This record gives sequence, structure tokens and C-alpha cells, in this order.
Amino acid sequence: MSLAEFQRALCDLIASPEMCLRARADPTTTLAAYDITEREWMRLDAVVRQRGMSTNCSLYRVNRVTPIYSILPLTCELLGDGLLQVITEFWQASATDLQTKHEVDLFADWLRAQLAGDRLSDPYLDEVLSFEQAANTLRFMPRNAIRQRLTQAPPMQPAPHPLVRVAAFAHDPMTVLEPLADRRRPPPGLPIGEHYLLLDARFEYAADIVVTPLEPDLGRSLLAIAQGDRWPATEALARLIGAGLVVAQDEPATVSADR
Amino acid sequence: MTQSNVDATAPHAAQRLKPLGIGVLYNPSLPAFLRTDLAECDFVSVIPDMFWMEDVEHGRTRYTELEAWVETLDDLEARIPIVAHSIGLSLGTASSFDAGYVEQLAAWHERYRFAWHSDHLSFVRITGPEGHDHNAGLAVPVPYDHEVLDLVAGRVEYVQDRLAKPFLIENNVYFVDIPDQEMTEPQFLNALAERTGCGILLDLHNLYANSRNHHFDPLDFIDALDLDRVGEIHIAGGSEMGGMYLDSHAGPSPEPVWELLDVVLPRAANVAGVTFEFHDSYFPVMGAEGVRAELRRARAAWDLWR
Repeated sequence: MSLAEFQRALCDLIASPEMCLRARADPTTTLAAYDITEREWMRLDAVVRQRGMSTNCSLYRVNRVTPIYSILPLTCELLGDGLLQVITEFWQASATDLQTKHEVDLFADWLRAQLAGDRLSDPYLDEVLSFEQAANTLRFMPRNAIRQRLTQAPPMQPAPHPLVRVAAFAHDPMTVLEPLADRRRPPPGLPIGEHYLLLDARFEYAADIVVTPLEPDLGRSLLAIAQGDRWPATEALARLIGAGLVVAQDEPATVSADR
Repeated sequence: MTQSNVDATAPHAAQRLKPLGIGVLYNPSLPAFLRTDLAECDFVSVIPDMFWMEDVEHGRTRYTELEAWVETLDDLEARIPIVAHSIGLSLGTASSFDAGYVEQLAAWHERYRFAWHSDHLSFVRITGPEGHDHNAGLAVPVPYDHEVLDLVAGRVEYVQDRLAKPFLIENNVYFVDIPDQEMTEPQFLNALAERTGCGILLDLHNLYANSRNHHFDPLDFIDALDLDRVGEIHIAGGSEMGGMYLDSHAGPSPEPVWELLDVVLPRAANVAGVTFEFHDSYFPVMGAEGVRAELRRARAAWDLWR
């Protein structure tokens, strides 16, 4: 058990430069929580004083921020100078999972909780995060297997095509996303509206995800189906099925609008 | 590839390898290069962990393959030998060992007939006070003590039994010196190889980084290591951060690494492959020409001594 405790203490130190500083100043108190031998205590006391411990702490942070920055670059851009503070708080609140998608989902959930709890405020953050997270979800899906499954056994009831996502925006998406792509913050006070982007990974010829605007009626309807909120009007449903954004065994004309 | 490159009657892992030659560690920037320059490589080394995601459900890990990546691997497997270089065995974790992960590796060995398998002398998995395993964030070195040797040797024997392929363990890069260790790193590696029959993956860039950061002569390390056990060599580039030299795989191998390769190759009779590692973010800087130059220089050294 002692070796396991030594390893846990070492990893806790690597994950926290603050703990390293506390261990330098007061090793007895800082390491008291670990059931370690005198030699292990001496080893930890020695390593926190070495320059290489700072390297370990930096590498830990680089390794954790890399998946987030590579998958959520626009969200990170939006957080701007506050990114380091936000991400440090996230690390303090959550154990690491260096599986890229999981780490990003954990961070996105945590960001949303901060927004919902008014601990973070940004008019564009939720929509940009939702957009990038939707893209992330599609990026990791087994597209060929899903296409094959849909061909062999389409769902009995109409359902959103598993390879599409819709992202809702309260501002014109182009006025938000284009500046961010140029590493600029969108201007403040953009007009409020109802906008939707379709993220589409259905196409075999497209290596990545095709993003197009979706008219509000269809965007609202598709989002409602995806979230299980309500069933759209027959006309909207028929148009979604006609566009292949909703899939079912039945033809559009025979689909019931009742649920 | 269907042809076996393993001599199952030889006494230890490195001796069971049949030479492949020069390889490159697969990364996302490589498919285009390999389409045009496959002839520059004799094998490709892949990190299986990059090709799947892990989900823990009801205490069991489920492996979801990344479809597009696996298609690339399927394509490669039909054209060139592949070796596996995993990063998740976490052989040094005292609190747990993931037998399910070993089974996943074994299934991939069945499927892809990897010529050999390697992982690291370190740990990346750690059990928190709540009892759940999580990732340590980087490969953390183990103390070179007899207690750790017993621990790692048991895991290596288990892995060798399950994978039924030559298994090589890679010397670690470390940034802190753990005081009062019972063995040196070469002594630990030699003892592990002697006890388990495993081979050694000698990462010359890790050795170079450690020698720079901890101020020792890498030739002393090489002299102390049982070079007969070395089955694969890694070469790579690095970078400086905060006064320390990192194994960041940042572009071409520095000159001292090439010098070490020239020292080791004539003395390590069982080396079956030399693998160039670089991070995909450096491909735009190096270009195909830069990768080709590394592979050709490695081949020149290989041809001189093989």
C-alpha cells in the first residue's frame, strides 16, 4: 500500500504547483495525508525542491490543455485571457481523463455549469461551445458503420439522422464564428435572433463535417426532436425527412405527427 | 502481413526478433507521407491506444474504435509490417493493473499480427482516494527498487503470456531524481530483462535528455546496459523548456542522438528496428523531405552495421 500512496502523492504534486509550494514550505503537514514510509517521505521532500518538478507540473498542464485547445479552439479563443484561470479551476474540480473526447466533454459540462450558476458570464460562450461540442461528437462517430446500419435497418419511428447535429445561436453565427476563427473576439452587443447551423457528417466524400445554415423552422424542429421535447408540425417533419435529416422506415407522407 | 518475424525458440525477446530495419512511429500527419514514401520504411510502429476511445461502464472498460483511423491501419497492415508501442499498460502502477486492457491488446495482436510489442518503464494510471483510476497526466517514473522490480516483473510476465509476442520495455525519460534508489536504471532494466526474458527498447533520445538534465555521460549508461537485450531503438528530437530538455519529439534528431546510434548499433546484435519518432505538429516544419532525411540517415547507420 505504501508504494501506491507514494505514487498518489507524487501524482497529486505533479497536478498541483500550489501543492508543491506548500510541500516545500511545510512538508510535514502537506504530506501527512499519505500513508508513506520515511524513505518515501524523504524522496517526495527532495523531488519537490528540484527544478524538474516544475517541468513535470508544466507537462501535466500542457497534456491536459492540448485536447481541449485542439477540439475547442473557438471556445478557448472566446475565453481569451481568462482561459488559464478557468481551466485551472476546472482541473481543481475534476480528475483527469486524457481520452480526448472525454476530457473535452468534461470541460464542456463544467463550463455549462459555470454559466448556469452565474460563475461565468459571456453572451457567446454557450452557443460557441455547443457548436464545437456537436462537431466533436460527430468527429468521433463510426460513420461508415452508422451509414451501413441505417441502410439495413432504419429506425421504426422518425429520428434525427445520427450523423447530423444542429447548433442553435442567439446571434448570427457568422458574426460570432468568423472573428473567432481569425483569433479575434466578436464585437459586443450583436443583435439577438434565432439562428441554426447544421453540422452534417452524412457524406462519404467529405472527410470532415459540412456546416451550413438551417432555416429557423427546420432548425427549431430538428432540435426539438433531438432533445425529445416535442414533435414538429407535419410539414416541417416532412421537409426534414425529405432532406434526410430525419430518418425513418416510413415515407414522409405516412408519418404521423402524433407522438 | 502474414509472414512471421519471430523465432519462438530463442531464449529471450530480443533474440526472437528477426530484423526489420528502419521504421517510423505513426502519427496523424503520416498517411500522406506513407502513400508516397512507404519504401523509405521497413515497418511502421503504431500506438494502439490512438485508434480507440475508452469508456468505463459499470466498472468495465469498453473500447470504441475510431473508424477512420482503423481504416488507415487496415490499409497499412496489408502493405508493411507493423509493431505495437502501447502507452497504457502502466506497468509501474502499484494500486492496480488493467487485465482488460491487456486483453484488448491481445485482440489487436490477433487481428494485426504485430511483429512485437513495447511499452514504458513508468506509470500513467493512478488510483485516487475514492478508489477510481484516473490518468496521471504524464508518464511518471518509478523508483528503481527491488519492490518495484517485483511488481513490474510480474506484470511483464503476464503481458508476455497473454500477447505471446516478444515484449520490449522502454527506458523512461524523467525530470526529477528520486534519491536513495536501490538500483540504477540500467541495473533495473537488466534485472527485469534477465528475470522475465523481455527485451529492451532503448530510446536514445530519452537517454540523451536524461543525460543533459541530470548531468551524466550517456556512454556510461550504454556500457552498463545489457545491449544483447536491446530489440528496438528509438530516435527523436526534443526541445528546451524552463532550462530542462524535453522528449517532445520536436522535429529532427539532434546530433548527439545520431552519435549514440553509431555507438549502440555495432554493439547491440539483436536490434531488429530503429524507429524515428516525431510529433505530428512538427510535420509542417520538417515536411516530407525532413522525415525522409531522418529515415535515410538512420538507414545509412543501419546498413553500416547490419
